[in-house]
Amino acid sequence: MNTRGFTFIELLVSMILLGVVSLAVYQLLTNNQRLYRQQAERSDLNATLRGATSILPMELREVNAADTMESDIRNMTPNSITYKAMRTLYFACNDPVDVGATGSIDLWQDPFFGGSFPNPARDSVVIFAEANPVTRMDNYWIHANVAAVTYGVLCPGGLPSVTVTLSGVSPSGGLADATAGAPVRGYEMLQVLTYQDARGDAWLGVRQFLKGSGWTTTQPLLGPLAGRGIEFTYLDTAGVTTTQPSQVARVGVLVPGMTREPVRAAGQLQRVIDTLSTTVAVRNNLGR
Amino acid sequence: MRSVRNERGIALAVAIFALVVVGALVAGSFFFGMQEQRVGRNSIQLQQAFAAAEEGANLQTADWDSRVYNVMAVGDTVPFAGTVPANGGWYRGSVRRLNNALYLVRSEGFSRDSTSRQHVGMLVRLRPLEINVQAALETQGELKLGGSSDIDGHDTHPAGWACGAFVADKAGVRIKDSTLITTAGCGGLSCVDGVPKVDEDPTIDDSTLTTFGDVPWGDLIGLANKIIPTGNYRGEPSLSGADCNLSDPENWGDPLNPANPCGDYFPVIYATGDITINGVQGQGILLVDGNLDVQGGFEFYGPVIVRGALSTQGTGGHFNGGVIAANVDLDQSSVLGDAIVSFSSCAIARAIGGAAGGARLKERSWVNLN
Repeated sequence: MNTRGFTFIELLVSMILLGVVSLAVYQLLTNNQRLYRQQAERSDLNATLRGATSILPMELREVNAADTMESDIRNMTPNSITYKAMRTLYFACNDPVDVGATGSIDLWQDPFFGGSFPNPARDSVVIFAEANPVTRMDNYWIHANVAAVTYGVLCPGGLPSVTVTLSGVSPSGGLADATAGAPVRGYEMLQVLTYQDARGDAWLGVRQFLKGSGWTTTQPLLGPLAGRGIEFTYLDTAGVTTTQPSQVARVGVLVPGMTREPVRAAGQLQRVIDTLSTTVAVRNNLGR
Repeated sequence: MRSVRNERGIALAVAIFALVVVGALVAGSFFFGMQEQRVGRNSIQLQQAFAAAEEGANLQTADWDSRVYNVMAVGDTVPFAGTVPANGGWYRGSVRRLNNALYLVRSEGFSRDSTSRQHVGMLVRLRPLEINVQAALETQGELKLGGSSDIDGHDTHPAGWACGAFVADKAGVRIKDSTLITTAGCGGLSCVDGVPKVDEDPTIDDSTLTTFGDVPWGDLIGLANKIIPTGNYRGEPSLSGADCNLSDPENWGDPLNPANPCGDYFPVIYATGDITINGVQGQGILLVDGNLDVQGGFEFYGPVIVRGALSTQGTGGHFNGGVIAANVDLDQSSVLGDAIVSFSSCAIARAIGGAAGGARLKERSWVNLN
């Protein structure tokens, strides 16, 4: 009795049942995989949109488009913006040395805010100028190139200092208007732009300007983006589009995000596009 | 007899496999759902923290505590903290003095549940008041002097105050047209002293007397931290426990006792209409958008600017600093009785220095400190 096997019919029925179950499981797995991929793509798309509306406002908020000496926005097009990206905040510990278009300024090593001390290969500075101390209406910011940096103990009390040698001081002789305690902002020149990758997709990228070698290779910031990529609009205080950098009071950012791969949407396999827009008010323009 | 072992099937294995597959499917969906929810919540918390940080910095600047910040030594820091209304997060930070005029307000904002943090800074400058007092008493309208009044343009220091060097003496009276001066018991302007006694300046007009440095009248009254309506006032320092009671509308500082708790309190007092003062003392800047009537030996230290008519009676008032009657419809400024108006550069400097508010730098005041 123990040697009895399955009949052919039993085997056939069981194989058919196994086949049906396997097919169902396969479809389930396939759907699951498709759903997973779709969700991953949409999640990436959302991250792209969120990233754009988080990174760009943070970058552009600190711009002073209306600087009376020179606007921080150096070039602006619908798909790119070149600007002075403020990165650090230092404070002068002594009155600067004014030699016309050159000079030097001693900075406190503590406190300072930002990642590093000025890098002559990349950074420039703006320095607060008091001018006439009985009024604040003539205050302005001196623009200067960081030519060299030396470390010492030149701050009052023999405390650690960073001496920044300056060139291209604008206005020439402006350092005479700055005093100890003056805030000094370090900045690098950045360009945020739309570019195309090897696949032909648009991406938002960023590159920085190095004084010795020019623009660096564009690094991807976020993407892929649909169409021509990100679109900037530049608005003045009245909300009217302007082409003058010094008139910019707000920057509109339109981000057409797109999934990396096609996903099934509305019964079709296609790359999903979603768009998000935001407006950034620049905060450091001339005020009262 | 059938063996039980031969009745084994694959139903259990298939069921378990199916459960695993379905479980994975559900878990995958949950994973993405949770991810999106977390990222969305983080975005909200980040925005909440950012708004809290900005509120901290903005409030410290708008509600500038001149009693504390204006007297800080360079390099010192004073902490602050607060919460955002409607459970919108909280902030903490510090105000650091950079030099005589500049400050850095650092503000760290936190979301309601303290899981997100943002850090912003505000560069602030003391907003200088340039009240250019050029005489003990300055007016553009009629001026009646009399009694035993005394107007003196020589620089004097208030008793018991720590003051710097004397400055050049000023005119006793500066007026648009000296023929508008009439006297009653002050023949030959014997009650006026200064260098010169009377400075006639036909260029005096409304704008001369209502714009102070870069601060016009409208902005000047915006700096007021003590606003009083039309009425009668006494002017007397008061305490809340051991501290100066800043909320008392009659407390205008304690110039006669500079070491007392209210001795360093220099309010900007703005009277919105006619007021009468019959009482004790005050210091700071007194702005009157109407007529000012003083009696009872009231003593004030600092600049007094009256847009209407100034009149003193009886034991009059003692003004140490300078009085500007920047009238629009001035009929007559009467300095009668025992009124004393003395120029004091020290009283003016202390009042202006103590009252100057903080204002964001004209450009580049906002700093991302993250």
